Amino acid sequence: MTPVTRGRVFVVGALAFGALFSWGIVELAATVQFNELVGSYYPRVSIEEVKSFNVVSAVVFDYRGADTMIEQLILFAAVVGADLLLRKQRSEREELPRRSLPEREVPRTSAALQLAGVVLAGLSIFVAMYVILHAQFTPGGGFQSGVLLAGALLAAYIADEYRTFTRLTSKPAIERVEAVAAGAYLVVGAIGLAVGGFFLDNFLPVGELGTLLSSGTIYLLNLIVGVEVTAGFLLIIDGFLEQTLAIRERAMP
Amino acid sequence: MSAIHLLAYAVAGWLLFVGLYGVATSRNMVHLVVCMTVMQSSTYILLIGVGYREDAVPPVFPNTPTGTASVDPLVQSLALTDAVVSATITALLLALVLQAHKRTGTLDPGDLRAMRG
Repeated sequence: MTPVTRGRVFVVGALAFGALFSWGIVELAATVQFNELVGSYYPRVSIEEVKSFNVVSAVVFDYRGADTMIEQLILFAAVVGADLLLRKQRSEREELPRRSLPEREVPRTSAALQLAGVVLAGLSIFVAMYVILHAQFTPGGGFQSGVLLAGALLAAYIADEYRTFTRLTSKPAIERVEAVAAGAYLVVGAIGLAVGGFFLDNFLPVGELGTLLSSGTIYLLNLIVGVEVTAGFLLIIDGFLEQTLAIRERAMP
Repeated sequence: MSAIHLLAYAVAGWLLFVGLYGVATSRNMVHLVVCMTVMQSSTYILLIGVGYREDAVPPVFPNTPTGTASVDPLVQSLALTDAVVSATITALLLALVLQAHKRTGTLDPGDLRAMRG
């Protein structure tokens, strides 16, 4: 398809899209008003029933827990796919990153960058812990803190070098952690089915409103997802770093 | 329909449109992947816009009296989970782009005509 034909097809498609979108929005605005019943139902039951001040957490890990299970399996599948694609191919070889080669003298990372990296890593770990441990009464939860934690280890790479990152993270171990966390969500769901009669039933004691170990399985699932997201993002970061720094095309014989 | 709703829907429509335009005219696969994430962002704006309500608090209550009207938490949780999941999908697509570049030596989707085994 030439760029001109492509442009024409796009104009036709865009006009049709614009018409359908405007129609959809007009209909949406006319029919879907704020649903008082649903909109105020969740905050009420979330605080009374499962003792979670954070209604979003309660919806994610309890009321719509099955949706989140599918979402975390999508995340798992995407990470596995990326991990597979970023492996060393048959036509490639792995070498030590240049800076680690004994005969190459490359200036070391500057002290300023090292300090900034260490401060950033420490701060990220601190914030990530705060965000994941208070998922049921302040904004936050496993999804967000997982990304923060993985980012903290990336800051360690910025501060030092690739081998520091690989020393801090053992790839086979992270792969196992990722798989176990993805499976643990299903196990918690199955225990709920066995104990409470519903898949993902909140079978743990919900505790007291606003305390650390409250809200039952919401808290547990939140921790599981946090571990899974951390492991997943570490695998992805490691894969891309490896591609850039260590994997080279095998020299033609 | 309030002005905020109108703004949210307009921004969502615009993001979807510019993303689509970028996908249709892209000459670089990294650019293509970024355009797709722009399109995806429009769904978050639309969802949050649908759940918005005038004079309401965020659905997180530690410092707000229980029973205060809040915006719809359901659409927020949809956007929340997807923001993280879509980041991993982007990584998967970028890994595909990387391998395609290694195999063919080009990033232009227009050059990837024939399938090769």
